[in-house]
Amino acid sequence: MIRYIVRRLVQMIPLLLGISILVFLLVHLSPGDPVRMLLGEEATEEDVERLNAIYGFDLPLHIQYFRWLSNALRGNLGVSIRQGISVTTLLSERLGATLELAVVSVLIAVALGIPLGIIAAVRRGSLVDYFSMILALVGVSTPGFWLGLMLLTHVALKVDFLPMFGRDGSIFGGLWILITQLRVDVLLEGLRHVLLPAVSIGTGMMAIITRLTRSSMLEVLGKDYIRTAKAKGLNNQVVVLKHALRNALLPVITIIGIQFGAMLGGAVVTETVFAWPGVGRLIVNAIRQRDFPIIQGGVLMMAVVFALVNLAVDISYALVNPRIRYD
Amino acid sequence: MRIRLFLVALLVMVVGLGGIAYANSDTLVIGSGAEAVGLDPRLETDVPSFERINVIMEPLVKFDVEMNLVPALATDWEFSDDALTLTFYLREGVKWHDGKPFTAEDVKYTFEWVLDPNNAAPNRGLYADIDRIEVVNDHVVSFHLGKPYSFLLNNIARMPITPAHDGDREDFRQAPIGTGPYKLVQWTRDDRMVLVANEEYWGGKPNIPNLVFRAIPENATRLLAFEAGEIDIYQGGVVPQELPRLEADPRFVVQRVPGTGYNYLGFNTQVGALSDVRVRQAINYLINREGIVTRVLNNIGTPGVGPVPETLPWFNPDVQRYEYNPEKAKELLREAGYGPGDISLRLFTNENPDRVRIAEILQFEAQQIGVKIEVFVEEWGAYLSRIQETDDFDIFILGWSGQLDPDRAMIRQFHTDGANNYGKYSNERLDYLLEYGRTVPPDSQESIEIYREAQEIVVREVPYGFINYSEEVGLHHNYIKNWRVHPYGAGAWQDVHLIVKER
Amino acid sequence: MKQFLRNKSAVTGSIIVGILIITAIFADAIAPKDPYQMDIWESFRPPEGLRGEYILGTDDMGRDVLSRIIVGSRISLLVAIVATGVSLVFGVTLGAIAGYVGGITDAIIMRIMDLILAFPSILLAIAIVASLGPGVVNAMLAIAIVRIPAMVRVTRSMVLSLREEDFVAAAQALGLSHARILFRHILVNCYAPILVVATLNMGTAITVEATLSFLGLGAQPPIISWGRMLALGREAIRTAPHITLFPGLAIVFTTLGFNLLGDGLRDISDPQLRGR
Repeated sequence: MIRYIVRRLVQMIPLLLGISILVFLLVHLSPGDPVRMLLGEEATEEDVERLNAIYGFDLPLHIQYFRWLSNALRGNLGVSIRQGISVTTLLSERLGATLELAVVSVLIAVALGIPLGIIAAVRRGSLVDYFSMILALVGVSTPGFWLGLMLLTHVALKVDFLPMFGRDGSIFGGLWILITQLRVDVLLEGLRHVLLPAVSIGTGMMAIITRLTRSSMLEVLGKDYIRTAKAKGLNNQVVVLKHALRNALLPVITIIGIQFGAMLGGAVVTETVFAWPGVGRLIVNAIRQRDFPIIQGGVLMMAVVFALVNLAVDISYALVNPRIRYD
Repeated sequence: MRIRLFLVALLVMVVGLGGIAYANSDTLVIGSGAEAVGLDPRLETDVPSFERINVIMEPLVKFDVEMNLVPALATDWEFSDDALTLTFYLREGVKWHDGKPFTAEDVKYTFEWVLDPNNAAPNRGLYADIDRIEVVNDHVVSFHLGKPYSFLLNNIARMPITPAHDGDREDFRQAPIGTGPYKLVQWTRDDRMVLVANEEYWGGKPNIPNLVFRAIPENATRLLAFEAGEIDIYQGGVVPQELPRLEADPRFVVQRVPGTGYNYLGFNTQVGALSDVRVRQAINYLINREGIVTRVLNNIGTPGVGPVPETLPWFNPDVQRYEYNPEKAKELLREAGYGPGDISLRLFTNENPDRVRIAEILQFEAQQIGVKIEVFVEEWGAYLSRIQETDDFDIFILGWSGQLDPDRAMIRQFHTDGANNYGKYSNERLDYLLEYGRTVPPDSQESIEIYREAQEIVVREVPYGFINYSEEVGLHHNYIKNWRVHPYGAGAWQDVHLIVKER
Repeated sequence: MKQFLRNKSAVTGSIIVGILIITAIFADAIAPKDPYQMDIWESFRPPEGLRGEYILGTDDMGRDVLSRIIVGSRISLLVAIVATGVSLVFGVTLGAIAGYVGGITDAIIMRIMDLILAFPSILLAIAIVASLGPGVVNAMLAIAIVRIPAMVRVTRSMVLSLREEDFVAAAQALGLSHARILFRHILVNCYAPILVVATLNMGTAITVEATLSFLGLGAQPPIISWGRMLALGREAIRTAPHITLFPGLAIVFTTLGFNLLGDGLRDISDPQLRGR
C-alpha cells in the first residue's frame, strides 16, 4: 500500500514538470505585457523598460524558466508582479474558500444525487424515476454561472436569510467551534453564505451522480448474487442498501474525484458572480493581468491537488472493495 | 444517515436564521467594484486601491467634492516668484497610527522614494520635474523644480504621504500605517478589509467605530447586496438601467456629480483612410452621442465635446460640435474621394460592456452609409499591448479618468512626443501651446486662452472622437448622512470620518 | 432504426437537435425581425407575447431578442460541430494509434493526455483563448483541445479490446498493412461509443462556448452568440430579466437535446444497458 502511494507520487513529478513547461509557454508566448498592465495607460517607454529589467523579463525564455524552476523546487513560487505578494501566500489564503465551496458542492450533490439515483433505480419506470432523470438531464445541461444569476435574482432576493454574496467565516472553523464550544452560529453563518454558490456548482454534479448511481445500481441489481440474495428471502431494503449499493458506488466515487478536481478551478465564473474569494478567480484575473508567477503557481497547485484527490479516490476504492489490489 | 442529517441541518438553518443581524450601526460597510491591488500609494495605479488608501493615509493637499484644492497634511503652500520652488507648511500635531509624529522628513522620504529610479514606482513621471526636496524644518518642506510646472500641485494631491520610519517595512504594502481617520486591522483579499477608527485623528474622532470594504466585482451582484442591506454605500458601477427605480425608492439616496473623465474613439491618424482628417470627421459625425448617453448610459454622463471636462475653467464651450449626422458624414467621405464600400476599418475595444455597446452601435451606423467596421473585443492585456506597442489598429475605444487639469488632459495624449499619443497625431501649433501652457500660472487668463485654443485644434482635427463625459454616481441607504459623492472615485471616502449612520 | 424509435431519449433528443438544425439553417426566414437592426430608443422593452411586435422583448440596444436567439443558434451549432469534429479527428487518430501500436508511443500519447486532463478544463480553455486572442475560431480550437483526451481514452480502450479479436489476427495473417487494419477493420467496429461521446461533447461545447463568450473571450460583435447575449444583459437583470432568461433557456434546451440524444445512442449501442 505505502509502496503504491510512493510510486504514484513519484509518477506525478514528470507530469508536473510537463504542466509547468506548458503553462510557461502558454503565458509567455501570449500577447500582453505584465509590466504595461502594471503601469497602466500612463506609462512611459522608459518606465516599461526599467521595470522589465527589474523583473527579469528581458532575459531569454529558457533562462527565465530555469530561474523559476530552481526557485519552485525550493518551495518558492515567486512573487506576484502586480501585488508584490508571494504566490504561496496568495494561493494558501484562498485555498480554504475554494476547498470549502468544492466540499459543500460535493456534499450537496452526493446527498441529493445518490438517494435520487437509488430510488430511481429501485422504482424503475415509476414517476420518481422519470422525474429524477429529467432533473438530472436539465441539471447537467445548465451552465452553473447562469444558474447562479437566476438563483440570485429569483431566490436570494426573496429569501431573507440567503445573502447575496461573499463568504463569512470558514465552515471548517465553524465545525470546530461547534464541536469544542457547542456553538452553532459561526457554522450557520458560513453555511448561509456558501449555500447558493454551492448549489449553482453542485447541481451539474448532482445530475451526473444521479445518473451514474442509477445506471450502476441497475447493473448491480441485475447481477446473479443479488438475485440469489433476494431468492434467499432477504429483506429487499437490506439487499439494496447492503449489497448492491456497496458495489454500485465504485464508479460513482471515481466520478466524484474527477468532478472535485474540476470544481477547484472550474468555478471561475460562479465565483465572480457571488464574489467568492476563491483560487479560480485569482488565476483568471492573473491570466488577464499576465501576472505570470500567479498563473504558473496556481495551475501547478491545482494540478497537485487534482492528482492527490485522484490518488485518494483510488485508495478509497480499495476500502469500499477490498478485492481490488494495488499493482 | 447522511440525507437525514442534511435535512435537519437545512431545517435548523431556516428556523434559526429568521432574524439575521445585518451590519449594525457600529460598522459602515462600503462596497467596491474590485479588490485593492495593494495599499502603498507609491506603487498603486488603480482607483479601487486608492479608494481604500485615501482612508488610511493622506496627501499634502486634496481635492474636495467641488474639486477645489484644500489643505490636508499641509495647511498652506506657495510657489516662489520664479515658479521654481514650491513650499509646504505642514499641519502640526499630526500623528502616525503608531503614535510617532508626522514631520517634513516623511514628505521628503515619500517623494524621494518615488523619484528613485531603482524603485518600481509607476507614477514617477508625474513628479519628474522635481529636482530636489529640502526639509526647512520639521514643519516646512520645499520642492525645487528643474523647470516651471504649473500643475504640479494637482499631481502632489494624488500622492498620500508614507511614514519614513515604517515605509520600508517589507509588508508595508499589505499592512500600512498612515495619518488618516481609520487604521487597517485586517485584510482578507477578495473578501473584506476591516478598519477601525483612529481616535486621535487630527480632523476629529470618526463617527462610526468600524469600517469594512467588501469587493464585489459584478455590478448586478453589488446592487443586489446593497438592496438587501448587506452593504451600506458604494460609489461607481451603479447599473444605469436601475437608476430610475433606485431614485424613486425612498429607502435609498442616489447622488450624482459630473466626473473627471470621458470615453473616446481613438483614431490611428497615420495609416489608411483615417490619415485624412475628413474621414475622421465623418466617423465623428456617426457617433450618436445623444442616443448613447440617454439609452446606453441611461443619462449617466453627458455628450462629449472635447478633452477637458466641462467643470474645469479651461473648458472651451465654443468648439465645433459634431451632432449625429450621417448625411454630413457621407458628404465628407465623398469629398475625400470615398464612395460606399470603399472603406473598411478595424475597431478594437476591451470587454467593458458599455464600450462593446458603443462599438456595436458605431458598427451599425457605419454600415448604413457603406463603411465597414470590424469590431474586435480584446482582453485588457492584449488590447493595451496592441494600442501601446503597435499601430496595428484603425480605431480604438478607451476612456480617461482623473483629468483634473488641461495639461493632464492633453499633453500626454496629443503632443507629438506624448507618452499616450497612440494614434501618432502631430500638430506643431498644438505642441507649442501644450509646452508653453505648463509654464503659465494656472489661475491666469493666459492659461485659459492657451488651453482653449488647444481644445479648438483637437476638436477640429479629430485625433479623438469624444463620446461622453463621465458622471460619478453614489448610492447609499437613507440612514447614511453627511456624505457627498466625489467627482473622482479615488477620493470617494476621504471624508468618511464625518459619515453618520442613523439606525 | 426500430430500436432508435423505441428509445424515448433518442427520439426526444433528435427532435430537439432537429429543431436546432432547422432553426439554424432557416434562421433568416424564421426570425420575425432583423436581429442586427438596432434602435436604441426601443431598448429594454419587456416581452410582448405572440401578438406583440417584440415577442420576447428587446435587448439593451433595442434589438429583437427572439430573432437574436434564433440567429444565435447558428454559432452554438457551429461551435458544437466544429469543436467536436476537430476533437473527434485528433482524438480518434491518437487514441487508435495509442491503442494499436502500444508501447512507448502509447505511453507518450497518454501522458500528454494526462497533462491536458490535469487542468480544470474551463481554466485551460480560458488560458488558450487568452494566448491566441479572443474569437469564435480560437474558442472552438480551445474547446476542441480540452475535449480531446476523452476521445482518446474511449478510442484507445475500444481498440485495445478489439486488437485481440480473431478477425484482427486473421487480417494480420493476410499481410494487410497496419494502417488498413486499424482504420478499415478495427475502427469501424467501435464507432458506437465514439459517437456517444461525440454527441455528449457537443452539449459540453455549447456550454463552454457560452462561458467563454460570457467572459468576452468567445464570439465577437456583430456575431450573435447566446453567451454574449447573457454577458451584455446581466447588468440589467433586475429591470430586464428577459434579456438573460431566454438565451439561458436556449442554452439549456439545446444542451439537453444533445445529452438526450447521446443517452439514447448509448442505450442503443450498448445492449447490456438497454432500457436502463
